[in-house]
Amino acid sequence: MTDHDVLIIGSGASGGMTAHELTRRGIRCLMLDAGPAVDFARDTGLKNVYDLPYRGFGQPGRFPHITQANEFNANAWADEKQNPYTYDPGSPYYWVRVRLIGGKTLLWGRASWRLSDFEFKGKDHDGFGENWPLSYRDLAPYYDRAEPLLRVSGRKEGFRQIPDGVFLEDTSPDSESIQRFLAAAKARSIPTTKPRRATGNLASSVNLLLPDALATGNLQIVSNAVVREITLDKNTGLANGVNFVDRRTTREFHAAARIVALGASALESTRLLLNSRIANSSGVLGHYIFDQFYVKNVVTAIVPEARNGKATRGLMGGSGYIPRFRNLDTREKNFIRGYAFDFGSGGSPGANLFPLYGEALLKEMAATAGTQFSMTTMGEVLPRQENYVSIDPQVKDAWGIPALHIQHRYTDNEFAMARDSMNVADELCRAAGFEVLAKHWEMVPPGESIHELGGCRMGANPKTSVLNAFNQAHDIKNLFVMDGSAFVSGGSQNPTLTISALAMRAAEYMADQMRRGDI
Amino acid sequence: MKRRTVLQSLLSMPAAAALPMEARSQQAQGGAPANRETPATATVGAEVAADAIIRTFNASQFAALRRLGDILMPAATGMPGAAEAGAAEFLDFLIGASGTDRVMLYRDGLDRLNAEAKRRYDKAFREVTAEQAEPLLAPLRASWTYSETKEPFARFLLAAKSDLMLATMNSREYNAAAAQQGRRAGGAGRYWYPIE
Ligand SMILES: Cc1cc2nc3c(=O)[nH]c(=O)nc-3n(C[C@H](O)[C@H](O)[C@H](O)COP(=O)(O)OP(=O)(O)OC[C@H]3O[C@@H](n4cnc5c(N)ncnc54)[C@H](O)[C@@H]3O)c2cc1C
Repeated sequence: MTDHDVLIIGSGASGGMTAHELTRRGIRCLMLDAGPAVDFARDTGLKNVYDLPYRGFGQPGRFPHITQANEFNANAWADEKQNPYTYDPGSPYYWVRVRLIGGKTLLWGRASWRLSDFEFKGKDHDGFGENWPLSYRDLAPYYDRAEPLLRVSGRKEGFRQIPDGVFLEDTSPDSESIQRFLAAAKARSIPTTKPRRATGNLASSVNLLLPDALATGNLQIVSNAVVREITLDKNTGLANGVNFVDRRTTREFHAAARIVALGASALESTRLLLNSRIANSSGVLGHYIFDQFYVKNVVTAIVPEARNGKATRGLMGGSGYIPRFRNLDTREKNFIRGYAFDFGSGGSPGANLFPLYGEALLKEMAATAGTQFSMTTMGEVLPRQENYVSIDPQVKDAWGIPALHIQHRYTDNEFAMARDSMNVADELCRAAGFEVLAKHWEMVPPGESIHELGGCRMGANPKTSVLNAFNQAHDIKNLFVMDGSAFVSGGSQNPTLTISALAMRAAEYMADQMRRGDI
Repeated sequence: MKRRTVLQSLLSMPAAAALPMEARSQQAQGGAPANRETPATATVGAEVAADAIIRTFNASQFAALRRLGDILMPAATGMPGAAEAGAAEFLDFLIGASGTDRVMLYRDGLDRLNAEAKRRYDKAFREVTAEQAEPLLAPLRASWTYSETKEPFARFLLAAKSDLMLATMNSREYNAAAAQQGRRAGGAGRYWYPIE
């Protein structure tokens, strides 16, 4: 059997970028992914909602933890029965997975923000947690290359907390409702900008990364390959490949390579290491998991002038972003770090927001059609040792691989931020002249933001971290973890651009080390 | 007109009036004569050709649900309501396919509507007028809160309001009526077939 230089586990953002960077340097890669490849022409098609068996409600109980699943896209998500996990009663974790070639990048929302030294050097600002073993300057050149690859559009603003990048310049005009909101924010010294987002019909590793990698002739992809564990050479203690099981037949295989690079997504990669019982001399493996907390529709308002069919294009439509503005130069009393907002104009408020029914409700819904202005909070979750994943010895997946137990709770810092964000959102909407229909500060359960991070955090000290600054395991030098599990902290920015830039940087380092014969 | 007859007549309308152009052209290709080698056999959904058997609710619960549908989601401005859309029939199936908690929430809620109607007006809920129903439906006039209310009857009413509306708006009848008015309703979307 051919030995490959690098074995990449996972074909999403991190695995895709790893393959993209290694193959163009002439390195032969084998990629294993647990899922099948999607043929969009064959596997998807337009359907009317009334032709669906459950009229768009979805099959009851099929996805208890995936609130993003609907009856149209249900078959795209990882089956929760085949892929079980556990948590303590009372502390639910909503683990959202996609097991297809391309991973979650087939469905992601594409928001793409850089982290800054407010995150990389967070401990220097407020004393909490750990700094990353790298600074913004180290990662900036990789962001510069990742953004054009992902075709990120945005507007340059000069904000320190979300550094500018190499964007397709967003020159779109703002509707009147957005302008009013921006003015209300400006009057309160709250920064705003256009969304920064990967563009195109599809912005996935399957169209942006894997085709180039395959074209080099240096990449083979095996679909339906569920990796069970990483294997070690008994003599050297180095990784020598992985054992995997064919998803459809349960036939077992071993794939060999000089280097193993995990990109199965933060918690899956951590699970693989825990199941392999490796890379944990620090005792930190599985710990310090976090995500971003979301308060979905923290405020839902209507723009009164748009009522009764006057929601014109000039008045309504468009969206934007408020980056973190708390704890930059001043100190909040009740919490450290900060949160961001997405805001959007347009759409119609849901029937549940009106204390009405019958004809009165239908009339009100018609009158408010297209008048909505809503905001969602995305806040930093502090990485804590007591938030961790471990192997649940009682539960196995459909291929007999032990499942994860996930322990993740939000604490006072997140609650205080969520409440603060509601008050700010409410004030801004009212100042813009909007009528606030509903406001709340209830966070969705941990996991639901789909920004799973940590578990194999990087650090300079092998006693307190799993990986070094180049995503390389301290314990096993030919083992790399390329995904969000390497994060030390996450800020309030959506993480995929940073995952991609880090994977690019780690792949370059890996290639360098190989060339020098160090691995 | 029976709902089934309405559905049959909808079928004689331009078949996929609600589908956007891309889908319509796909359908046209599927049915084109050039494809005789592997013809796509025309079929209709069960709802079009047959009446659903009511299994989850007993007769008085189901009658109360239908009446609730009339009140919460009436036909208005040329658009069908819950009755025309067979929303109660559909919910009998959907709720029955859900967990016991949801079944009990609905059964208890519908029983409560009947009991309250009996106590106040000495008749079943199916016979109450919209005005008579008002005090019974008072929880629906409470202001919105993010957290679900703990009170089961209020929870039932809020669930029924949302379910009856969605079951109506996502129905074939509602979409056909919307298309006739040049509007899109629940509409169409990209469907992911089971992969492999
Ligand atoms: C609806 C949605 C919206 C999102 N919006 C945004 C957004 O706006 N901005 C943002 O930054 N992020 C967003 N995300 C998150 C983003 O998609 C992820 O951060 C990103 O895809 C992570 O990349 P990854 O490579 O770590 O994991 P994935 O992309 O999930 O890829 C992991 C791959 O590993 C494979 N795999 C898992 N286990 C195994 C195993 N044992 N053996 C073999 N293969 C395995 C899986 O099949 C999968 O293909 C969103 C996600 C979703 C689903």
